[in-house]
Amino acid sequence: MDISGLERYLNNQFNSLYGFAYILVPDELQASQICIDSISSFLLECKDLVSDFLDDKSVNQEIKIKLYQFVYNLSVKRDVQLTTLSTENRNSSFFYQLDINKRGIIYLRDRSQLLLSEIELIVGRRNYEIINDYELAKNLVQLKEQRPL
Amino acid sequence: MSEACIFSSNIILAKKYPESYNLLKKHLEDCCLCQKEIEKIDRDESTWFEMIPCPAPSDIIKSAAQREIHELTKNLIKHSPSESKNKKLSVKEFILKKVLPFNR
Repeated sequence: MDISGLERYLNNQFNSLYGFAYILVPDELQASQICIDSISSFLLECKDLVSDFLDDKSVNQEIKIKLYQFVYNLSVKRDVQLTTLSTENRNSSFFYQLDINKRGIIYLRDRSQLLLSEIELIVGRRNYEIINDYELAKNLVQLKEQRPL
Repeated sequence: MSEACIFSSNIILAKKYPESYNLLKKHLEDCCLCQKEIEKIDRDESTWFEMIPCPAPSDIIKSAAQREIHELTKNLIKHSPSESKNKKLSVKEFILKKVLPFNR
């Protein structure tokens, strides 16, 4: 595969990366910047994966996990700097009142449909911690946002 | 207290691991109490899915990102190993052709 194939792949990944970044740092510009920074870091730090991709090896899922990992780590760092900004959105939906780790886990599990082992790699936590946070957060959101059926 | 079937507690696991719950399949299909429970679980699941935000980038952000990604991948060509190898060769060539003749 050539560089344009890599460019196409990264462009295709952008939407899901943006969705993930936005639920972690609920601001359009910040989220898109985090995605770009993540892609940039990935290209600089994961040269082996990039060359495997260019050699047509099937590393798409590995690259996806790496990109999510960069987005998660950058977002956690930036969330600390932007706590005041995030509160704007937190009023609109209870989901945004959850802490950043729980939002990330819910998104990765239910929107991105990733495996527990993949989520472990992205958020750098044990599977029982992830399951615990997920169930806790899900119950909380369902309780707060329960609508009459 | 509403009626419930003793097998209803297995529904979630049966949905998740259908191969392991083959024996229960027939019962789940026939039992009206279990059917009601399945409907409730499906409803809860779809409601839960609606509660998770799914933000998508606007067109402006998408096209800006495309430009950035293009630049980043273009830089990758500039700094690819073969490129730097060429650079090293040209430095070697430079030394051989330009520097060495003066030192002789």
